[in-house]
Amino acid sequence: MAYKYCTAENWGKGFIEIGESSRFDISGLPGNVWRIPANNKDANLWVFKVAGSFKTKSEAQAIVDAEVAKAQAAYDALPEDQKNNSLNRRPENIVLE
Amino acid sequence: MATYYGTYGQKVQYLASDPASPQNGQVWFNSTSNLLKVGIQQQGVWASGGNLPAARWIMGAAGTQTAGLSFGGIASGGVSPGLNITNEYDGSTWTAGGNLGTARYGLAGAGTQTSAAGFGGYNTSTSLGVVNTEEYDGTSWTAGGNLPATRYVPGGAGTQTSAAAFGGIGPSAPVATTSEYDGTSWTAGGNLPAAVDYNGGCGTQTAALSFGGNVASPFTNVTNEYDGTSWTAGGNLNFARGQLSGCGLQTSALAFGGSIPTSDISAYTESYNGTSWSNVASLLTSFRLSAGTGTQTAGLQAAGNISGSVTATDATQEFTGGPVVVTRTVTGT
Repeated sequence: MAYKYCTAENWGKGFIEIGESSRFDISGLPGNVWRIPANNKDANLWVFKVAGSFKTKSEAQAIVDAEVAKAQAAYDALPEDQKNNSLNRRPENIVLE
Repeated sequence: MATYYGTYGQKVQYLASDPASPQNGQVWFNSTSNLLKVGIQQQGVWASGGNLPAARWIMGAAGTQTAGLSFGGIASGGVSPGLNITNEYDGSTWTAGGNLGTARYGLAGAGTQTSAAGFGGYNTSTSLGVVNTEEYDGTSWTAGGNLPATRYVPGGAGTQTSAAAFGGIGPSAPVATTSEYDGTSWTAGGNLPAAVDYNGGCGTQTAALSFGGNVASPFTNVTNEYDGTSWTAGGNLNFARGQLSGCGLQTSALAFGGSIPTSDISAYTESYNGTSWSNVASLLTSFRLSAGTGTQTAGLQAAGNISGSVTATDATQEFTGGPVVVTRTVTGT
């Protein structure tokens, strides 16, 4: 499956409607990055609806990496007794498909 | 070579746009996008709900998709302090409710938006688990009976006057115990077969369901069913995970999100029929430690953690169950 990426801020109700998620796969990633199928008219219309901004895979990866780095930094700043317990693990890197 | 015409006795439709209501198994060629499409029946679909006023995680929850309740938790970016915030959902918008008397996270919930119970949890100001039960009437929380011992991140089920707490982390370690609430006081119920924490829970006090959770391995796919007296084994989750959310009844439950062995967070959603779990539509965004409530066919996932550590979101997702024919692109060589 070929994918496209965009950024769009999730405003809440109506951002992704049943009629949209039933017509194409949408997957949210850190940094308000959304993965949608490439060459899909419905997906493109959804990006238009949400005023999304298309990103190349490398651009999307950079946004995701930055968000993961922030989460990792937040983890690294935790007191030692709050690391690697049942509540917190160091966030893993995400590699876009 | 077999052909579509030879197999099905008809040609693939050549359409300028996707049909509005495709049939299960219907295949067509979209001449605009030059893609082969198929209608596939899946169970349910997720859509966006209204955002909470602020990002948070590891809250308690009660109610339904259109009358939901979220309470307590932790704000994004830290592990303290625990929150006393309550928010009420009307199917579109979250509004402020009355504050919990004891700020905390990792508590369980039962009941409805106007008759809820929140019990257990962890109080970051004392760095201790708590025994407190509080009861919500749609406006404010009042103190109920205390749990027999501190307990946080348990599974929860039932109503304000007939609730159950099972598993979770006790005063010193994960526990297998069940406690039953009658609206006034807690009494001991039957023990789970093994200690488990961060387990999902739903159902009623006399027909509860515990599924998944963290154990030594560290995640389990085990499901157990409670009859008000004892726990027996149910069907295993397809994906072992902990810190998941769930809703529904013992014979019609929904489990979603959670940590899995290969990832901090997941989008897996599974549906239980009283015997076995089956995979249904994935969450739009992966989570762990979110608030889950509602029913198998009208589930609600509110906020939650979107990394392995302290990063949370304010997003809400709504599940609509039942067979839905979704359009998917056919790929391959």
